Amino acid sequence: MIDRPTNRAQARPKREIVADPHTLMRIKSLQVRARIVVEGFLTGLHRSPYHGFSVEFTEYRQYSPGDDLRYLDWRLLARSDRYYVKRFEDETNLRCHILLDLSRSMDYGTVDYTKAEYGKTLAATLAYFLNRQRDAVGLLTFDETIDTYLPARFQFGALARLMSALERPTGGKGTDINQPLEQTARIVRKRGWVILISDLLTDIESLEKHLGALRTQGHEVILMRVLDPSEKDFEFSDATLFHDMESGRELYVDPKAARSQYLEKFQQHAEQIESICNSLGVDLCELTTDTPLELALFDFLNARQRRGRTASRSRNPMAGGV
Amino acid sequence: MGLLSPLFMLGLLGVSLPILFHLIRRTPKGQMLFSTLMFLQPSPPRITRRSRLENLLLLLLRAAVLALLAAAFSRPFLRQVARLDMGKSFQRRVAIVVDGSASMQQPGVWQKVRQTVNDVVAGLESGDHPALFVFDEKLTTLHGFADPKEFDTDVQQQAVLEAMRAAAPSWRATNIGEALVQAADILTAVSEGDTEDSAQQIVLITDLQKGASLDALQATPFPERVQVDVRIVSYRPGANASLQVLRETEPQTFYRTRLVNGEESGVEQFSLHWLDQSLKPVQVASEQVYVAPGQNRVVQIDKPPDADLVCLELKGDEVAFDNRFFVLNTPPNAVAVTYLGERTEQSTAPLYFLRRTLNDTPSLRIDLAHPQTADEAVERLGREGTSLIVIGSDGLDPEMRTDVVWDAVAKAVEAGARVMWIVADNDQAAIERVLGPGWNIEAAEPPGGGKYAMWTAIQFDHPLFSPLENPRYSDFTGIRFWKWRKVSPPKDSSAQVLAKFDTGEDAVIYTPLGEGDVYLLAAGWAPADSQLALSTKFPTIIHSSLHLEGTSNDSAIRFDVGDVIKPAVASTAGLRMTMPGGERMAFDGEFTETSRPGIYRLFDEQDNLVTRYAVNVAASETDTRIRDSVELEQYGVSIGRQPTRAERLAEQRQLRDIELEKRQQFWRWGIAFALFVLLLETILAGRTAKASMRSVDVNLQNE
Repeated sequence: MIDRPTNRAQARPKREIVADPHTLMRIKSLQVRARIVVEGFLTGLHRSPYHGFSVEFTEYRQYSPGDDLRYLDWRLLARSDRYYVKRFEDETNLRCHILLDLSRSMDYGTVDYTKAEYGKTLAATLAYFLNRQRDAVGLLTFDETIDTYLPARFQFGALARLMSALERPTGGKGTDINQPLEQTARIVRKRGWVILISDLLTDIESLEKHLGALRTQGHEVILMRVLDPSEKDFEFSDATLFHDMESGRELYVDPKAARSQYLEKFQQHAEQIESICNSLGVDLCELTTDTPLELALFDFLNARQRRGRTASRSRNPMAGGV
Repeated sequence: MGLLSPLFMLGLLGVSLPILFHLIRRTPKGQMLFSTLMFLQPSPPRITRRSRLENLLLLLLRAAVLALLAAAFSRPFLRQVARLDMGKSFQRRVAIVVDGSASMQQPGVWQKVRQTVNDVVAGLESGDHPALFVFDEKLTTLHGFADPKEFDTDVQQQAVLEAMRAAAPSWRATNIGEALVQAADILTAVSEGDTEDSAQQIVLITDLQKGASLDALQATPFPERVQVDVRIVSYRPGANASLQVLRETEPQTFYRTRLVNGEESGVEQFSLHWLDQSLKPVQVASEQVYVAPGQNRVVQIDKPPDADLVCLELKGDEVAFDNRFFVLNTPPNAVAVTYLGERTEQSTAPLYFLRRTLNDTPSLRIDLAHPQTADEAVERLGREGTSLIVIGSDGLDPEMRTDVVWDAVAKAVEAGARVMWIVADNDQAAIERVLGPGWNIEAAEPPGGGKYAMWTAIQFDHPLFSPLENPRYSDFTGIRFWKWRKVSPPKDSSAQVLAKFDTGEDAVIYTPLGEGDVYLLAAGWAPADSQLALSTKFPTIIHSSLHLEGTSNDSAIRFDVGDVIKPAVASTAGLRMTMPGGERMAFDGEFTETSRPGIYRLFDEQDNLVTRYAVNVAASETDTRIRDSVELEQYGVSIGRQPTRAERLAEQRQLRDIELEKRQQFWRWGIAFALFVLLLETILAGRTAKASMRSVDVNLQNE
């Protein structure tokens, strides 16, 4: 169980402690990248990075006949000759599905690496982090169709399978986020977290409908939008023939003439996404590929905290812990 | 060097395109991958004009390809010296056929016709043979084709123009079909000695009105070699209004007059006036009539009290040639018919059928009397003006069979009456009393046993039977006779047998007597004797007996300009016809010079008016809407223009050039060279592109 940064919730980690994404991305193994991020993150944030369990002790209550003797604190009885029953806050394991967009547009990148690589690292980091907390993590990669689906498991080797699935080379085409969202809504019946990592550079007409369906099922949804810095500022200088990576369409564009219109439309699109997320209670984190991944992790935890425990936990005061 | 299709040389303009493309190019080099174009709009490519041409060799090759292709498509060939000599054998005969019908009297049309003829003559080449014809119902030659030996172009053209200046439109109807056929026949006849390639052209100048007749074109195939060039000359087609007094079917106090207003007429309000014989308006109240354009209307115009008023004029129509209609405002002739026969009228007796046959007509007012006593009969027959006496003596009351009656009959006949005598078995005495002695009447033996007799040897030239002369009506075999008498005239009698029975006995005998005449019928028309009364010929025979000489009234017969008038008179000796203009013309049985509308009057030797005739413009002529000239083609007429000598020469030159080009076929070389240059260009362009790609890669790597 993670120790939530409750007392430091609004404070982002200091810049010194984060790993430089450029350096990080040079590490080949995804798992290593994830571990560096997570452990670096926890080191900076926690008093004890290894603290935490899914069962949390809350209080003692005096024994009364009829209570389950299994929860009687025998040690206390031995010490003080009083009958007390332990009360626990039961926290079920978090069930989290990471939906990763690996379409062609994610292969774009003007920094040393592409959005896809960044997205994979982000997914690996989140998976590693959750796995460390013994939460079940599933993975669904998609482009126009669903490519890989690993159900959320917490078992031996699950993380390794997930990592290897992420490390597989991708060859996606267009983006269709509707299908994975529909699929997730159909498969994942138990409430949990759904993290959608995508650039969302596609039509978002039915995004609201599908995100709404997930929310209706009780899922908490975090939308992590990964963008290349050039996509946000469109800082090109030469007029050239732009080739759409997904559709293959070609367009002659003079960036100087087209920039203002591009930024306007891009902003409009972003606002639409934001308005959809706000209306559905979906957390939106917008990340450019030069953003340190710790910050992404921080945003994730922040989102979790904002949501509180209600979504992912059910209180069962009498339920036994593991 | 010549070119078969020089227009393709315009393709050389295409050479400018590669030069333009080499001068102008897009600034961008290569392309850039981008995640999405969904937020981008295409920018118009920035074109920069460069002062220096690049890739000159490539440019030259491309221009050369286009130039070679243009040259190949224009089919070049090398001219060879060849004389094109049509020879003097080529002749183009041009028959100018001018419509001179009444409708050409529309305002300004004839001037246009003259102008068109002038234009046609001016367009003739030296060597063309012109002729001028004018037609209405018939074709008239104004200037024929000249003899080729004495041919002089200028003289012929001047002769045609002079003949046209003297020509004027007539009042007759239009028969384009007849005119074209005759003109084509004339052309074909005069062109017999011409060479194969000589041309025959008809220039038809007409208003091609809807009312024109084309029927003659159906009868004979139109010669294929004759081309007809139709020049339509018209005054506002369909703007004409016309009037026509309709034929009367029964006596009335008014004329039914049909007014037709053309679709394009700008007038709706018309008035009708009466004119006298000298065409002066008279003080009779005029009628105001409203007829919408494109409509026709029948109005009732009261007959004027004065018989001198003969012309109804339509006012308000700007096309005047057909605005007058002549009618003979003659009161009907009074005809007194006396029937002597059975006392009571029975459906089996002759009187029954006679009464139903003798109805009043617009030209006849019949007064049929049936005296019951001898006194009545004598009194009736003694009156002046008795026209016809019908005697059915078979049923005649014996009290009336008196000599007094027969004397009265004889007296009336001598005074001018006509007798139709159905002879009875016991009539010998009566006939001898009237016609004189020597007549023999016997009862013929009826054939019996279902046998019957028919009329034969009918004298159709006699006025009694002449209306039935037409073969369509001259078949009397359907009329059967089963009871008759043998009538034998005296040997020295002037009696004439008009019909016989096929048994040989006389059936109808005609005998003049004094001023009048007697027709003896051996068999009557009553069912007891024959089927004559049931035949449609019976009313005709009875009416023609009324219409014989002296009682005829031709006012009901309408004539159009150009019709032939055949008066129903026994003798035409000394008769003269007075034209509407007053000139008198000799007359020999039929009158063909009805050349203008008006009243024609027939006078005898003593200058007594015999009868009058109203002649009008043909109704078909008043329809001035234009026919589609395609209709002529539907009748097999070749519409078109024969080439002139110069055009024919140009045509031959073109044929020769095609032949030369076919032999030389330089275009193939042009295409082959173009393909070769294209190949070179492709190789060169490929290399240039590769080189530029390599330089782009190097640049990218450097960046």
